Amino acid sequence: MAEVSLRRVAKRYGSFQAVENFDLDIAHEEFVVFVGPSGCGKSTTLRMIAGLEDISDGEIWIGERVVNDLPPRARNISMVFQNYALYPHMTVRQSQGFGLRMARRPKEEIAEKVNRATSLLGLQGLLARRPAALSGGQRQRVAMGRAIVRDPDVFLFDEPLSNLDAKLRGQMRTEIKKLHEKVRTTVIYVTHDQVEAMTLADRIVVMRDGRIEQVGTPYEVFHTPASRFVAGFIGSPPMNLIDARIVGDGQGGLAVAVPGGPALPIDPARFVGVRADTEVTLGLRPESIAPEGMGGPIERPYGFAADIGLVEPLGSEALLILALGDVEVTARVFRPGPRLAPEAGVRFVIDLNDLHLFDDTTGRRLDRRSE
Amino acid sequence: MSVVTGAGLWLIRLAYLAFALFPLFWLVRIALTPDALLYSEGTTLWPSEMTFANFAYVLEQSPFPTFFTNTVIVSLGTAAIVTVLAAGVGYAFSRFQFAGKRAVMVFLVITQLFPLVMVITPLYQLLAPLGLVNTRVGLVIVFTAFNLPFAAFLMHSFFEGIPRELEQAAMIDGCTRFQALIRIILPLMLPGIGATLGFVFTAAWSELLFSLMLISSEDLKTFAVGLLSFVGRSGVDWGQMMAAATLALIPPAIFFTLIQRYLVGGLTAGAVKA
Repeated sequence: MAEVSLRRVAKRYGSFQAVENFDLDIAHEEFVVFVGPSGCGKSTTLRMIAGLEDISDGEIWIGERVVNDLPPRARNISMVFQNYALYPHMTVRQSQGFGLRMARRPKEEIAEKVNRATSLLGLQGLLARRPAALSGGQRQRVAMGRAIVRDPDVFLFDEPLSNLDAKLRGQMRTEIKKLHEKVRTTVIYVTHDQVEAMTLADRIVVMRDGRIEQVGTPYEVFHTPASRFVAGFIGSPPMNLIDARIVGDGQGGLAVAVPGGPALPIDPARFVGVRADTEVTLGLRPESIAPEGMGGPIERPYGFAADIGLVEPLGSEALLILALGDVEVTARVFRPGPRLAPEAGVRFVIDLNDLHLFDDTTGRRLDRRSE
Repeated sequence: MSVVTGAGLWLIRLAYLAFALFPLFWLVRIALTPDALLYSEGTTLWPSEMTFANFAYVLEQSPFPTFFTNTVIVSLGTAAIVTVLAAGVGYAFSRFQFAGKRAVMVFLVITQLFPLVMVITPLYQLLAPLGLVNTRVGLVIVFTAFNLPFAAFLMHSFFEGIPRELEQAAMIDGCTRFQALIRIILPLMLPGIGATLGFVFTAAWSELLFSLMLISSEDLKTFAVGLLSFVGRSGVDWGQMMAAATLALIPPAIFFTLIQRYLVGGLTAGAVKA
């Protein structure tokens, strides 16, 4: 049971900076997800917390202790690896109890804790089996069981679901979430899958090139992405990001002009510091664009006509590829009808309250909206 | 997709088997042929009479049992020492980054490039002042030196086949690195250890060149050198020599039977990145 704090943590390999200036406080029992593309430093950071990588700079605290120089076994953590890392020569029962045996706990206690963990994960029938005789999902569960048994202060998960097929991944995602409800422990979870991040996290840490791009709740990173990168990374299908230009709207206000397309009026009160004749990146979520009458409730509608070039039906929803001026954008329609098809001159509506603007050079978010 | 299938494939296998095993067959055939018939009968597939006299002579009247014992001591000693050292080297190569690692690995490969004949004289001069010429210990040292590089690479590839996460999981589970090595890695390395033991044992078992150069005492000779004692001034006693050779084949045959299922794994280990 512990908080985890990282203070200006860095990892360097020679001149390469894998992680730089990583500052984060994780609360007791919080479920934090590190997410980012491969090579962003998320796994390296997790492995530094585990003690599997040296820390080049900064401090890592677990509870009341700085753990920088403690070996993994002294940190009271447990870890679930991407490839499960089950001991091939041990049965499920043996590998579940291995950590407790290493800690020289009494036999009865080991048996009791193993039983508790295995029944929590539904592994009772598999205790005598070795990993080779288990399916992927079962191995995953055994790996989690081994982690739970020891009552660690912190659970570390390193891409635990990436080796599973899509269906099983969804099931295990739910199980991990349920498990966290039952075993209230601090969790740090690494994934490159933004859906996992969104569904599991209390707070998401979006990383890129060894640095934190944004820390926030799933709601915050989705609705107020701090940068163009976060905007493009979180959300599926990704936000439409359009190179656009701020122009005067002719009545003293400002608008953001899509190349060869409409100029969308912007709210001067919200977009503080935006000036005319500057380049910006305009971000539009696919669900903020919809054919008239087919979208959700819209606060500040802006209507325009566009050609639907392509329809991608997904069952409960459909993606429409349409031309907004010279730019191709994706729109998302919920509960599409059976006859949605490419068509010219369809009326679309954009919700002007859902515009995102990002600085063209820094990529940082331009508005000061906080929801 | 295979070009040759069914019966054709079996024909090729049988042909290869006959080709590979014929010398062995001939060895045994000569060993079982009475001396008198060896030349008089000409080349026949099987002699008209069989005898175990050659085997009896080799076991009871020749110094072959001494040679045999020497060879067992030297081969087992070499295999054990090389395997332990190679395990250490392989583990270090596989798991640790250290300055000069590449250089050491390249250097090990280079040692394998020299024809062994080149080093006979310097080696002799090196061992003589140390009193290691004409000793079994000297042979074990020399064999160890020559077999270690390859064995180390073999062990390295076996260690590479064991995911690092297993040790890391064990270290998180409360092990020190050494405990993780002993409790988790070692049991998984048994096939690799068996394969390495087998390779080194066989190499030492059949070594002739250095045994011949370094051993002069009759009672310290290995069987490979001992076989030559059947070559006399007046001629070669083929029957006894083949009988001795047949007997010498038995230990490696037993050894390989025991480890053969590991050997296949040993040859492919490291071929696929785990």
